Amino acid sequence: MALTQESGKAARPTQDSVRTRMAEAGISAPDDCTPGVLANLIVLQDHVATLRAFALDPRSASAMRFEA
Amino acid sequence: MTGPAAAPLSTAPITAIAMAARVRSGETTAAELCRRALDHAEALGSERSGFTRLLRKRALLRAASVDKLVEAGLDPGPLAGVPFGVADLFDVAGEITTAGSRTRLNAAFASRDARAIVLLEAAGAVLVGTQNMDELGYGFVTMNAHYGTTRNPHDPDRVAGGAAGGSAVAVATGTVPISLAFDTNGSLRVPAGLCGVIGLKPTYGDLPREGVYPFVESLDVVGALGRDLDDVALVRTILREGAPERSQAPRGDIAFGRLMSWFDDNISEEMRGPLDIFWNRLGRVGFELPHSEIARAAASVVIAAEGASLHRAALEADPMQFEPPVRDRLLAGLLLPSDDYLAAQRFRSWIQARLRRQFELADVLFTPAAPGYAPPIADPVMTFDGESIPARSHLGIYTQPISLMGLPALVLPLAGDFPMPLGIQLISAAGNEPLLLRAARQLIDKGLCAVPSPPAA
Repeated sequence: MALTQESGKAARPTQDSVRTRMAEAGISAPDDCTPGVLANLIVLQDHVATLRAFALDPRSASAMRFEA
Repeated sequence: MTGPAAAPLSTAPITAIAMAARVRSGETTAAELCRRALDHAEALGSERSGFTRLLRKRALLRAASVDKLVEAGLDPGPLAGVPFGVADLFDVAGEITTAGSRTRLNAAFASRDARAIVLLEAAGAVLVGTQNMDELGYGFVTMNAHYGTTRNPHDPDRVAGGAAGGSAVAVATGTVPISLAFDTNGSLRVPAGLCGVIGLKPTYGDLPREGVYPFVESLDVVGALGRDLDDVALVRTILREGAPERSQAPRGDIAFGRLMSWFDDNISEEMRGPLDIFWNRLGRVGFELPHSEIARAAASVVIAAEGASLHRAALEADPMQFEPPVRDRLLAGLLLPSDDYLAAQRFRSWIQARLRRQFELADVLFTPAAPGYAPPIADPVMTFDGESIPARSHLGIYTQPISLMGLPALVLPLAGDFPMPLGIQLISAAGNEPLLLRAARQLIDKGLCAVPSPPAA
């Protein structure tokens, strides 16, 4: 099914999309894992939304410095 | 409820420094201390001692060599004969480093000890065993489907906290005076708070990680747990191998400030009262730490992405080897776009630079170490924004942002006659551990913080 999506706003994953993405990532997991993965993916998506809402110029800070 | 009224610092069991002095003076032997620690751990059993594996033969051989040095009139070092344990992700020569995971059951034996173990043993200490943790360090409860649940010594029906719960329990029960552990996102600070011991999470990169099984390389640090502040400070000094301090503790009064907003939300009633009393005694100065909720979100993204990437091969081979909560979190992490991971790392860099200015206003900031008492094992949940959510993934709400910022933090138990321990987290600027230790000493000396006595077994 084609998904039209407002630019910048992430579509909620579904059990079907999780199955597809896991297959694309090369992971073969029994179907009873899917609800748990989906629940965690939604939590991560919420974290990502929090992060994206803070508009940080990509040049204002390096993503590759790990020291404090 | 009793306020923080000068509960005396526990004097029993004795400190690591006192143990070493007795060994050096010939008052006792390393072998005797070692046997006592091993016997105590055995008597308590794995769930209550925190130990997953006792290294009796190795430990007694090592203790005998310490005693021979003493007999020969030589000094074995500042930790002469002091028994200690390590979380089960430090390499121990000839043993499998399990990282609390069944996926590691057929891994090769470690060829040598982790650097931190080598350094403590070079100072005379004796490794007696490995300690329980959440699988791979991914959790805040130390409820491990493969290696068992570690129970809180102050109420065995409650969680110890995690991920390094075994290391905190081993110290809280007085089985060993010090444990080496790790901290990715609160792994040693949360159990220190819930079990009533002292936990030091150093500045990122300050202590050696060689031979420690990684989880999230851009957050992982090695740290120490103990019952006595000087013991913890000594372990830090030894592990730093004489590296110069980045900054010295300033003389004069230390300016404390309580972090508000994110760090003031979701505090349980049992914590709020004692925390307010503590705050009042320190001058009732409060600060915002802007963007803490974004820091927590970024930390969660970094952990999921790095943890999943590290364990990708095992996930491909057989995801069912992992315990379900860890498996599902790792699989979700594997599906994160790389752009999200890079955005999280970019935010980390940005906030670290901003934070340097925060410490122009206060020397030491503080927060609760955890929202309240340790949750029950039968129903390990906590309240967040009015909803009941799993403690396994959320007990570190106040420690996670500090990890992303790379800052050093030290957890101390609040003094008082509480049904369960309550811990506070002290935070300083990066590289300013000397100040953190001086602040902790001041709080202990004022009677505001104290390590509770080990509960009767």
